[in-house]
Amino acid sequence: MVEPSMDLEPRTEESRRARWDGEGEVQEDGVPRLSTGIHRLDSILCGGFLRGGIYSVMGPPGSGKTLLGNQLCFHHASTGGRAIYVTLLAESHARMLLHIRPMSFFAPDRVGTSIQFVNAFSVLEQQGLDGLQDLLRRFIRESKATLAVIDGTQAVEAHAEKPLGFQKFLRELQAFTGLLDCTVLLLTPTSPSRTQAENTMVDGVLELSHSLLGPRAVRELTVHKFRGSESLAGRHEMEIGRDGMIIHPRTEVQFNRPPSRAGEQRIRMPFGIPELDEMTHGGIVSGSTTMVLGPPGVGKTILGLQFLAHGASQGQPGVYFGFFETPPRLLEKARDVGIDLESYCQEGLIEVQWQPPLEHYVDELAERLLERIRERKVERLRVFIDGFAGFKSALFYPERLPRFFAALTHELRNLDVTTIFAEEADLFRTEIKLPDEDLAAVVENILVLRNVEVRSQLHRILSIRKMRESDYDAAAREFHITSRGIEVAPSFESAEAILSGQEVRATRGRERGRQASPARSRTRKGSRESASVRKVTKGGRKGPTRGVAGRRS
Amino acid sequence: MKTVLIVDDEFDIADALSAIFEVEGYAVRLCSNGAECLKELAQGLPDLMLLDIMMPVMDGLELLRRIRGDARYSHLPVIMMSAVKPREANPGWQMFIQKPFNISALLQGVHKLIGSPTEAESA
Repeated sequence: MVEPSMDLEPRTEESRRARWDGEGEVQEDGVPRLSTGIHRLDSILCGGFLRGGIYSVMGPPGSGKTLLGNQLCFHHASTGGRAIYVTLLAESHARMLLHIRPMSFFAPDRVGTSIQFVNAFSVLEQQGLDGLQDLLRRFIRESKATLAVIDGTQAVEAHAEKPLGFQKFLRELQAFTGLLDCTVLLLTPTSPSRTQAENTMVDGVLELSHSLLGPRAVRELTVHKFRGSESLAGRHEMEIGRDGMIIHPRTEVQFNRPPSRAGEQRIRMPFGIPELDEMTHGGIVSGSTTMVLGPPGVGKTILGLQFLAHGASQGQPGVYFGFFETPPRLLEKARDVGIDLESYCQEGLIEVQWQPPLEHYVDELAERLLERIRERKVERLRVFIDGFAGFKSALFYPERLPRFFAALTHELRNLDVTTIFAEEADLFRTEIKLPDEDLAAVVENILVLRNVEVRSQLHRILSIRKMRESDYDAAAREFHITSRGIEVAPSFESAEAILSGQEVRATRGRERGRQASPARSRTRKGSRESASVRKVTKGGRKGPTRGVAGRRS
Repeated sequence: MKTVLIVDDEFDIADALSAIFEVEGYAVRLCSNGAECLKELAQGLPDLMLLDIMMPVMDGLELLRRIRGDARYSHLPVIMMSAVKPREANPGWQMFIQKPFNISALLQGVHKLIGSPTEAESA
């Protein structure tokens, strides 16, 4: 009766389908995964839990363990899978279901059908670990569950009669569920008196935490261990809302790949302000990040809007990502300086994304910006972030700022987005200090706008402090905000007079047509005659211009 | 009732398999290495053998060679299971299943080789 030989590969596609024809399965690197359905958790786990694995989810009471377990079950059921939720706690299922009923993922028709709820506390109490093991085996097998959540696993350890009884229980459970391709989550509370013995045996350990940072509540998820796969390390911000758990992976561990675009593809992105475009030799380079540094009210928002509006006038799309100006106020502000932002918005060329003044998660803000950019799927996108303080105020850990910023700008470059962001400087200081040296090192370009008070008159001065991979005119220029937007003086002379405290004659940009052209050419780097200007422009050349297709506006 | 003899030194795996086969309706006998299995076979023949390869005392491949070389046992259907498929020639298994495996696939293989637990063996 001996038959010809046949081979079975481990957990083939066919064999998996035999048990579960769900849509929730994802595979990375050929390893079958169980999708969590929890926003971004799959990204953190590089595709989801490894199917048939056993995972510990620990955290203090109220950290969201039960919610996570239920959300997983309902998601799994929604993709065609079957799940069991075993409680070893005193809390009844009726109460637990009452608490999750308002959640958007809750589907009453799944309860008792594709999701079975069992309270096994009395079995554990009366029959010990062996009785519980038998119950779990029978229940998983009979219900054909491919996901099992065991809530209150610490009770098993508490009922173990022998020192290693708990470990034996877990080993046996692991062997059984592994054979049945059933993924198991063990939910346990953390407490100083407990050693979390299960963590040495399971395939992965996730920790949920919540704490107060000043008046703010901070929820976080950390993956401490994840066998057989990579995962995004560190603490990730987490929030709980009507849609259940939402996780925001740390930006700096998500975007660490090198830029995929070559420099040869880059072009100049002018502001539409002739003198400024001349100073920048045709505009900033596409795919670069520019910091516009200046005190409140100096004109950073208007400069950013002009950058977007000029792009839109050339058919280049733009995004305004702001925190402080509400959309109606922004439209009005733009209108006051001759920018028809409303029309560009209506045409879909410029999109205004206003972040209401709420408590934000910094990684959520980055996600929101990047997701919108990806969704638009347009080339040569211009983005104006007004201002970066909105991101800073959302940071729980200020020390993250340099790496966060580097990662965000890195990804924006990868997406070939030309970004300008407004950064606040001190209102009452004439000298502008960089708020953060690390940020300055990351950006390609730095424009400084400042107020200078001379004889009770406030003057606005603009200068370029840095332009990587491009020549530029480093001389300071006076500028004005007019009904036509920002107008920059055609030469350095008025700025020089202001900065040296001399009598100032207004050299308004609108008069530029009447200005002598030799003055303009004198301000070009490398041909300056004034000693004071020479001092200002020292070290202006920062890099080669080769590879940048110059395009004057 | 048909009997499956499981030979695996990993007790947890053998125990889990045993629980599953029993639920399916098969009788199960357990051994933890090849030498023990040869003694067990002398007590009575199973309908199918499920052998692990890497075991102490006598591994699964050596056990299979001895089974195939013994006229009393050479007809027994054997399913071999291991995390790594051996490079050497198949000494006589009917089915190889790579760990970790899905139990459905294993049960399908068992059904194919010996039929359902209570199904009479065809003449």
